[in-house]
This record gives sequence, structure tokens and C-alpha cells, in this order.
Amino acid sequence: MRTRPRVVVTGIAAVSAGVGDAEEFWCYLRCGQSRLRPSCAIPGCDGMVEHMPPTGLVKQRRHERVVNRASSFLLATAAQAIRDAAWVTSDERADRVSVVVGMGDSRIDDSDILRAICRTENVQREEDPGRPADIEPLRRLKHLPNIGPALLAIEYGFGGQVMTFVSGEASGLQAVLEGFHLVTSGRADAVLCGGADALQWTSASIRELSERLSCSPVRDPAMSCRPFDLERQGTAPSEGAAVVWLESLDSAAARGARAYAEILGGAARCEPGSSEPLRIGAALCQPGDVDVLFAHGDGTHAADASEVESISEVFGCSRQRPRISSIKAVIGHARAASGPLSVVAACLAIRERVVPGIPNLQRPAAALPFVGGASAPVDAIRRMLVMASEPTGATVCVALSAQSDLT
Amino acid sequence: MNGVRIAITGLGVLSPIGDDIASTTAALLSARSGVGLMSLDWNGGRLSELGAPVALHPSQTDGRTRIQSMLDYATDCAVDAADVNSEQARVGACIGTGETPADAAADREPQLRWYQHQASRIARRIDARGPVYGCYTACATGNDLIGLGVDTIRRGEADIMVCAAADSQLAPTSVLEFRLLNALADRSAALPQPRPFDRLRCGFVLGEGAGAVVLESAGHAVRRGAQVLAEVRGWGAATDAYSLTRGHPAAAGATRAIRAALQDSGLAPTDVDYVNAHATGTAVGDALEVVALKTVWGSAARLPPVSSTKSMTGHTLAASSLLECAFCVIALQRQFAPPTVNYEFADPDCDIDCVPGQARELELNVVMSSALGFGGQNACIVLSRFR
Repeated sequence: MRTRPRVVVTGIAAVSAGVGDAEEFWCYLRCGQSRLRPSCAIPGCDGMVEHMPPTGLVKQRRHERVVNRASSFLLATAAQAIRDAAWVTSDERADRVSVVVGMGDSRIDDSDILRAICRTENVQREEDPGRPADIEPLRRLKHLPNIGPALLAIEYGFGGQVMTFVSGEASGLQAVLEGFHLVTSGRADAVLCGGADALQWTSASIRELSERLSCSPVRDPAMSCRPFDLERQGTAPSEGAAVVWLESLDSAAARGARAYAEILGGAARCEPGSSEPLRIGAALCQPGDVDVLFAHGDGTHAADASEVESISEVFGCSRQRPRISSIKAVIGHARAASGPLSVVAACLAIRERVVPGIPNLQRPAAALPFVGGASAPVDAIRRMLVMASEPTGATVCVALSAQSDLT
Repeated sequence: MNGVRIAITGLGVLSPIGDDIASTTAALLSARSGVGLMSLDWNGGRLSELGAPVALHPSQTDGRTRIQSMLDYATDCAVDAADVNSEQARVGACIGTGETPADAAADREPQLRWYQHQASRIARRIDARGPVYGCYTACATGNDLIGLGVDTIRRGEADIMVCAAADSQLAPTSVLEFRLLNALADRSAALPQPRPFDRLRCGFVLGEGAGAVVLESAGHAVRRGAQVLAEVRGWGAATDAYSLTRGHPAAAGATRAIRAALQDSGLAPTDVDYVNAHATGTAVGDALEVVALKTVWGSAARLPPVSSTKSMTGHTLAASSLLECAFCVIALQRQFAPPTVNYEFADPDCDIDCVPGQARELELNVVMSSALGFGGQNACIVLSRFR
């Protein structure tokens, strides 16, 4: 019987509110400094990426025209992760590399094409608008969610499967889990996986964000998101991308790559409040081996309460409960990118032997081992769990191990 | 591939040629096309375009968008046909849709239009509490969903995976966008459209619809006495990594997807009795698909019959390959190859037996269905009779 390949993370990258790469992300996470700033562009959205990735992320100029905001984050982080993994694609291996990404908002403004229709109407009501000459011919592609991941495959010549998940806030972590499955099933040798999301400009999107994500009314951006705090009032909408490079342990060893962590597996379920993904993730580790849990912890009343319940249910009152952290007080809720951002944080926590704290956590809402305030240095981290969930019920948990034989 | 066999125990179809299995079977057998000239209203004006709409009574939408209504209908049909009981099985779902065009849902809540909410909405509707995926890979969505479902069952994470997709872009904004891409057939052409594999083909016709299949571990299906309609033998996916809109000149991605599906199935090309091609009717796309098939089979002479049911349904985009999976199951059950309608003039670049004009009685044991999408996405599935 064929043994399943072990899967390791050999490259990481992150772009989000006020952070341009993984090391900068870690730096602010470690010192607990919020990167949320008041946004002039979209009031109430404090987690905007201030410095957009440079243009020229794609070689073909015509493709440049279809790169939307979320795709530009994705392409920028992909370049960083491939560099970090020191991966050099050879012709014979390119077809064995897959791309799996959870993409969030890729909507674009429809006003140009609607104007074209109305313009024709003003001339002659019954006239067919034909083929408008002044509209970008490839505009259809710009709002398809699979185009960013497809562009990524084109740019790097990755000929394996390209998969785009569109199931909301949990989709990025679901993509990491699916990347793990593609390697263990032998369908791919390496997978670039993660998530990307962008804050949108249309009023409809802002309304949706406010309603669905329970935006915090707190005016001080640095205090707006307070995961697991008794006085939490909602989340801070954010954006960005995070990707990880996964490959088999054998592949990494053969090319002398360094591994941040090993992915042990995980689970995804669609049942509001279900603790099953966490239970399955914990079961992939030895009892008492889970040192840290990067919770979804988005600062909303309902989601945090539900997560606290799940954690209590799975780990009970044992003294071996993991320490609990959340990245969202620092960079906000980057939705589809939030799960992969937590995976990147987990990889760096293993490397640095530090559990980042939750800076705004002053009065914990439950008697659980949250890491409040400052970061906590630890002797070692053996196993970690990363959670992501979305309000309609999808919950994903991924388990990581520090012992990859390469670290 | 591990030892878990995957059965299909339920089908749901809502297409321009039928809204249930009986009417769809009759249309495939009688080569009835659902394509016609449509009038799309826009802000008091009128835009004419060839299209293949489904017959959806306004009462069926009930406050939902057209895509949601179609998705719900097809999913409900498949789940009812398979008699899925989520209390007695671990049920998951793989869901994919296009996004409702802005001008087709101006009066709807914005979140109803968007991709992100369809998977969990359907999961609640059918009480699927297992793994649930919302996935979009353009025109390859349906086959990729089936692949996700197959692998989830093979890993033992679910007993049943409901795979469903829907799309409807018959709205002025989308029509104009596809015109900008030069993808649509000439609506004023004298010859009937679309014309897959025909020398005078000039583009596709937009269709709409929804398809759903219930995948189940064969052991589970047999134990509960479910009727097994067909078996999914395997699947494969690959990317051209070449262009967003143009296929690879040697059809590299499509070729690898077909080979991966055959390898996953443990079958040889000669085992395949019929291929339901992606073939939308575009000049370049159809020819490249033939290149891929000939590369895998060795020559046109070795190819089994290859037809395009999009000649009847139009291109239903994200829903297309799930609908075509359903057509393949019908073909396996009724033992016939669906036709390519409108085919008249042979094209040396498409020198295949495309089952022109009318359906053909044929002994079918193994069939293949391919899907090729924007972004260079290719996905292929292999089905067989269940023995």
C-alpha cells in the first residue's frame, strides 16, 4: 500500500493592512501593534492596503488590464512565496504544480457598460448597442474570481489544476486544506495555496460589509477589533492576501528546502457552531500536544461566542488546553485571506518560538488561556491549529506540526 | 485512485431542452434545439441576441435570482431522486454558480447575486453538514465540482456529495461583454447556430440552466438500496498556463486533463465508447479540442463518436459540464450517443465522427465528458455503467 506523502510548508507570504510582506506582518503581530488606519476611501473600512503592489506583476500587457485589486494582492504574495520557497520551476515539474485559492470580492463597477447601454438609448431607444467601442474588451474576465489564480498559473507556467474557492471567509483556509489533499493524493507535487480579498468601492458592498461582518462602531481603528473581549463590538473589515507553498516532504528534502511546518490535515464542515472541525484537527495531534490555537476570533459577538463554546467543548478544562491567539486585532478581518494569514502567522510563531498576543484583549469573555496583550515567548511549539469560519456556517480547521524533519 | 467506487444516485436537470429527465431524454433523442432569437429588455430598449433560455415561470423565482431558482430546482430534483436523508448519511455539497448580472437583479439584495453565499445556502437547504465547497472555475466548474466530490468521498469524509451548478447570463451586460470578446455566434447569420465542429462555425450561443448530480460511495448506495444510475470512474484537471482567452496551440492542458482522467479511472482511451465534448462552436476552441482528443487517442480514426450537446442547449457556462454529465448518464442508461445538431460542412481541422444531425443508438459502457474554461482551465470526467 502506498504511503501518503507528508506535506510541508516551504514558502510563505502576506500582504494586508499596513503590511507588505510576511516579515513585516510578523513584526507588527509580535509587538501587538495595530495596522488599522482610518480610511479616506471607504469610511469605516480601516484595514485597507495602503501601498498597492506594483504593476508589472504579469508579463502580458493585455493581462494587466484584467488584474483587479484582489488579484493584484494574490500575484504579489505569490511572487514572494515562490521566492521564499526558492522554488525553481523546471519544465518537467511545472505540470505537477497546482494553484488553489480562496478568492473573495472581485466585483467591479458595472457603470461603464450600463452607461454604454444608456448612451445608445439616448440616441435611439430601439437601437441595439452592438459592440461598444470604448469599453475594455476583456472586462468580463476582470470580475471572474478564477482569473487571478489562472493568471498566476500563466505567469509561472504551473500546469496542474487551478481551483478557486468562493465560499466566503473560510475559503482561503479551505484552499490550504485542499492543497494538502492534492499533494497527499498524488495529484500534485507542489501547490501554491491561500486566499485573497479586497475591500470594494461600491455602496452596495459597503452596506453588505457593515451588515454581514458586523463592523465595529468604535472610531479608534486600533481599538475597533477586540477578539474575545467582553466589550468587543464587531470586526474591522480588512483586505489582503496570504499564500503558502506546499510540497511533499520528499520534494523539499530533495532540493534542500527549509520547512516552516508540516501540515497534518484538517477538516471542513458546514454547520453553524459545529465543533467537529476543531475536534478532527485536535485528533490529528497527540493529546496534549496542541500548544497554540490561532482562532478565527473576528471580534463579533456571535462568532467569538460560538468559537469559545467549541474550544471549551473540545479541550474542556484540561490543563493541556492550547494557548489561544487571533491576528485580527492587528490587521482586521481580511475575509478570504484571513485563514491563510493565520497559517503564515503560525509558521512564523514556530520559527520564532513566540505566540503573538491579542493586543486589545483586556477583559476576556471566557476563562480560556487567551494570550492577551503582549506576545508570549515559549520554549517550543509542537502542534498548532488554525481556524477560519464564516457567518453562514462554514468552518475549517487545519493542523500544523513543527516537527517536519526539515526544521 | 483508492478502492472506493463512486455511484451516481440522483440527477437534476433544468436546461433549454428540458426540465426533467424524461423531457431531456426526449430532446436528446429527437435532436431538438433550445436555441432561438431572444429579445432582452434594457432600460426601455431592446437588444436582440441568439440565446437558449430555460422555461422558468416568474412564480418559480419567488424573490430569488434566476440563478438561485435554477440551482435550487436542479438540486432539489437530484436530492429527491436519490432520496438523500441527511440524518442517516454524512452529506456534503459542491456548489458552483456564475454571478447574476447587475441588470438582471437590480431589485434584489446585492448579496443574493454573489458567488459567496450559494454554497452555504444550498447546504442549509438540503441539510448538508459535511464538507461544503463553493467553487468557480469558469466553464470547467461542473467537472471540477464532481472531482472535488469524488475525492471527498474517496477520502472517507462523506457518504454522499451533492454537486450542483447553475448559470444565467442572458442579460444585456453579459451579452455585451461576450460580444466584446468576439465569442458569440453571429446573430444575423443565415445558417442555424451554434455549429460545433462545422466548417462555418462562428461562435457560441449563450444558454442558461442548472445541473445537479448526487455522488455516493457505491457501498453506501447498495447498502441503502438506492438505484445506481452510473458510476464515476475518475476525473482529471489541468491548466494550459498559456492565455486567459486562447487555448494552448497544442491543447496541452486539455490533453493532460483527459489523460489524468483516464489514469484516475484505470482505463485506456480504447475503453471509451463516446465523448461529450466541450465544443461550444468557436472556430479555434473546437479545433483545439479535437487536437487534444487526437493526441490522446493517436488519430482521428481511433476516436469514438464525439458530439457536442451545446449545439442544442447553447453554452450554459458554469452549469455546462454538470448538465453534460447528466446527459452522459442518460446516454449510458438509454444506450445512445446524443447528436451534434446544425452540423453540415466538414472541417478538416475537426475530422471526427461528431454524430451529426440525429442521435445514434450505440452500445455504451464508458463515456467521457470534457470541459474547458476561460483562464485555460480544463477538467474531464469518465463515467461508466454500474455493474
